[in-house]
Amino acid sequence: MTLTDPRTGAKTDIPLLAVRGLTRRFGEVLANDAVDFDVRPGEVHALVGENGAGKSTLLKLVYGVHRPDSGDISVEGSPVTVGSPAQARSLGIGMVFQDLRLVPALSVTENIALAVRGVKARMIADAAAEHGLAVDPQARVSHLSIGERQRAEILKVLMTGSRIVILDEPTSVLAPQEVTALFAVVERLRATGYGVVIVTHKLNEVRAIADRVTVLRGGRVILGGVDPGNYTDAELVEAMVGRAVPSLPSERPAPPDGAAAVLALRGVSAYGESGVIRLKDVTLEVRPGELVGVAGVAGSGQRELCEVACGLRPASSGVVTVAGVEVTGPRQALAGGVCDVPEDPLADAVVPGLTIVEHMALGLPKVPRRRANVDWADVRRITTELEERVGLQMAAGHRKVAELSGGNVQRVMLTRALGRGDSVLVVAAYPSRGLDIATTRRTQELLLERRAAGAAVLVVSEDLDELISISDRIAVMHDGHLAGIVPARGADRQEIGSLMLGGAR
Amino acid sequence: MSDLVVDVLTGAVRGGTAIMFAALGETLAERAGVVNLGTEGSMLVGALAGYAVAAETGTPWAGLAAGLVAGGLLALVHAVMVVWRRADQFATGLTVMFLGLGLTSLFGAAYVGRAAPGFDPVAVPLLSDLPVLGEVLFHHDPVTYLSFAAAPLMWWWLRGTRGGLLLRTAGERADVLHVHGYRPGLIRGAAVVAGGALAGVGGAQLATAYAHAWFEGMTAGRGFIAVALVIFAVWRPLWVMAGSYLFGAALALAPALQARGLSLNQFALDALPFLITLAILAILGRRTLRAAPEELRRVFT
Repeated sequence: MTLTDPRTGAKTDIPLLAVRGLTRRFGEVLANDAVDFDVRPGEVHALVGENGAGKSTLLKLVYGVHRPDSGDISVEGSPVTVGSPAQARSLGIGMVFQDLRLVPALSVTENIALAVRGVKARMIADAAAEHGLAVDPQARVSHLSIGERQRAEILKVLMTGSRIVILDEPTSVLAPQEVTALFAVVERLRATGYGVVIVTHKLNEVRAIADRVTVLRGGRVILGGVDPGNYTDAELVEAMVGRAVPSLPSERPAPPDGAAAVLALRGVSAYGESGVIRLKDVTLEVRPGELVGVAGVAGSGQRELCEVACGLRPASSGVVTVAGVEVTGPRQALAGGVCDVPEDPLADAVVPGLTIVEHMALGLPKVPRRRANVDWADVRRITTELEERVGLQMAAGHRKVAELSGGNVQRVMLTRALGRGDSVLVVAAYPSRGLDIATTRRTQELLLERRAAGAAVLVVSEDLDELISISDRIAVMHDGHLAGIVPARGADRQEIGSLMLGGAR
Repeated sequence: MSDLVVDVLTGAVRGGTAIMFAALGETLAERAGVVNLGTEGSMLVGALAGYAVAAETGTPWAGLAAGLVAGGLLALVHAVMVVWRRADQFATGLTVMFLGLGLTSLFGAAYVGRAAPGFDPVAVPLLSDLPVLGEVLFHHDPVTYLSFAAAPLMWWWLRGTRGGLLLRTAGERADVLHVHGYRPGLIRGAAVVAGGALAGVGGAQLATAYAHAWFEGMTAGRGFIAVALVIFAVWRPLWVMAGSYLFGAALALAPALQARGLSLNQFALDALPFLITLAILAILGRRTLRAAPEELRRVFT
């Protein structure tokens, strides 16, 4: 492919950035094993792989956060050493981090001024117009939506003179409309000769935007810079996971009609952690055998909704009932057969110093005893049983939760909550967070198994595809309100997206 | 009656100036993400250094400069401890305060009761003839006139300059500075030292322009009032200025009433500034915390 270099106007097909044989070891782990990767001017190169596949290591090596043990990096054909992020930026390598590196209390202009000396609001407005990035330079970052913040961050990277723009999972926090807008910006960067690297794990995004795709697994390149059009989804997933992942059954019996709701919220409002009202007049019912998905931009009241349903947060007005009984605290919710997968287990639901088996004992409705003591042998037996039934491969039972990775803690939470066969209501907040593709699929199967067994299931997720594939109905939240409920079958993403952003249906 | 009002307002400016310098200094430190409870100590060493140097050299301006340096040096102890050694900010700050108290008791004994040249009120031509305002604002010592510019200057500096931007970023998200190749620790340390220097100026003003004397513990909690003041002025220099005058007024009320023959309990009147502080903090509760710089909130919670 021959394209015009954005600065010199010369025709070139020398890669803007190329790495060859990049290797980096952390202790025993070979995080990157002889990785080859390149980006040419005017192309979008997707980097995909599971957690721990080596994507972030590769980005950190390229951005000068870590040094490679061996291998070469070259920019526009000349070999370089990248010793620090500042050096990476001076070489024209720009990174848009997933957790955007903006200071909320400062204005967009002030934030950009930290990176670009002497920048004026006027120059920012001009650059924004040039790249099609709608950002108000005077606005305080804390007042901007996630999408706007991301645009500001991209603008900052462009204004530092980067010609290689690396976007680290840029869509994970965006509503569908914002994804469309982001991709329009990326298209424009491609058309003007920038080299764009986009890290993602969503195959539909790879197909929508990428010219080439590189798949990493276990630190190695499995597919290197191939045209995604030549591969099926199943083939790409297999490259990522290492084995075929069965798809979910698409035909499911409809939930029984006319059954009384298991979970019912009537006009429920609740305060959030900061004392600000975060759940506003929500009325929602989940019937037995029904799975209701909850979609919304992060922080739209999903957390409070789950906590109210489990009795963990008092409603400031309105009534919450589980199986007909009013819930005023966790006691009633547990008695009513609620089990939950918390949004942030490390903060809210685990005791880091206790072992996995001890956590299982805490979650049992009745702890087995032998005389005055807990019957630990029996708890261990129950744990093994649950683990076998659930099949999520937890770490060894004597391990302390403090030693586990986020994904492994999540497996413990899921095993405890979904292994119980008698719960009438399952509330799962972001169940697949931190899990690999195969475990995510198994978790979705488990949720559907609970649904098939007649439980009411409420699932919060930021992944709209996941919600559409497992839900019966999708409840969309915006700013604490229930903005609308749509049937999942044949759901229109754009419609859900505009509900998420507070637009009219 | 209107005489009383003018007296109290004049006293508010007179008595509020030292608190304002200290509170502006604390504002710098806190906007950079560091609480400095040692401010009281910086005021004390500033007061003694100011008075002593004025006495030895015969120039109050030299005293003022000495106060600035002494206050900054004491704050350097706090800066080294919390920024580089990552010690607890509250424990360190209190210890530094007592260090200042101890040092000034040790070296200050010789200056108790000794006379020294100080700053005397200078009426500003024309402006001082204005009714009420002339009396309240333009019959003061030169340091007080300087203080009129201090808060607006700090407001402008924090908002408009590169240094101000870096300082605010250090108090909001120090990591971001790091990403851009700056050294947040250095910026914080500098802010703490500069803040202590301002508190030292406040102390020197107190000794050489307000009290015209040195005695042990003469700041009498003004440094702590300054710390509280910064919180309920939500870290804004212009609010700090207004708040300082409120406390100045509380301090001026007792002598103004006594001058009119009203006998009120001296101790009750002395407690007034602190009662006001408590009342305001109680009313605001946790609300101010939301306006706090992010890094500072991490220190508080």
